[in-house]
Amino acid sequence: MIHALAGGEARSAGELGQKFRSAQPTISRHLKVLERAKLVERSVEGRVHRFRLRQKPLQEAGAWIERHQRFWNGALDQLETLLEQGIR
Amino acid sequence: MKPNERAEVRRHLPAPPEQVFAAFTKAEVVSRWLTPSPDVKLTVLELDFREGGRYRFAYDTPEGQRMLVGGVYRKIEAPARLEFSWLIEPPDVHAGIESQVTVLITASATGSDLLILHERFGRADANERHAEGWAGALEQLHHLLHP
Repeated sequence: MIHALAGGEARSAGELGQKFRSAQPTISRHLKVLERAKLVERSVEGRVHRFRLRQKPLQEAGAWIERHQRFWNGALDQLETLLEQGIR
Repeated sequence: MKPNERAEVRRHLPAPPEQVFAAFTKAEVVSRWLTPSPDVKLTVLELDFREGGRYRFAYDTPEGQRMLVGGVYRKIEAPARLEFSWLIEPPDVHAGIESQVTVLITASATGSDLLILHERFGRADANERHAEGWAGALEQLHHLLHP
């Protein structure tokens, strides 16, 4: 489900139901769980409920990874220099 | 606990594995390189290099900010493998996110190949579990699916 929403576009429950070939109540139940877990947000236009993946949790994990990737790259630059000079 | 995500860095280093491994083991050496950039100063508050031993590092930026990181050495297999936990302390934005660093060192023709795997787990602090964050959200999802 998360994968189906990963493109960032909002999709209606009907579209998602077709994609998974599941009964609509099953889809609705899954979406409700994802919504309560704050992974997915819902917008309502008339009778159509659209669902979209919330960006913030993903971005927060992204920031952690980027920070630690940068940390280790910077540290290994210095380790490389230290080893070239020879640790005394 | 399964990692949600991980940072991964590979580097060829101009020294044999024994020397590369040794750079992780002593406070006076660690403090000379284990920082994100040369202007961030590392003060090693604690470094008990044995399995089950703890470390605690203080990082000071030129802007006067301090970041504290601590953890436990989980596996020490000189000179090939080192594993330790990594937990940033409050008030950092990433405080409470448990993670583990695995260092793998292999000999190469001209020195060593180093691989750092830094795996991110969930938040340790239950009060922060409901705060923003992919890890917290996934934990909530787990509880909803398996009440």
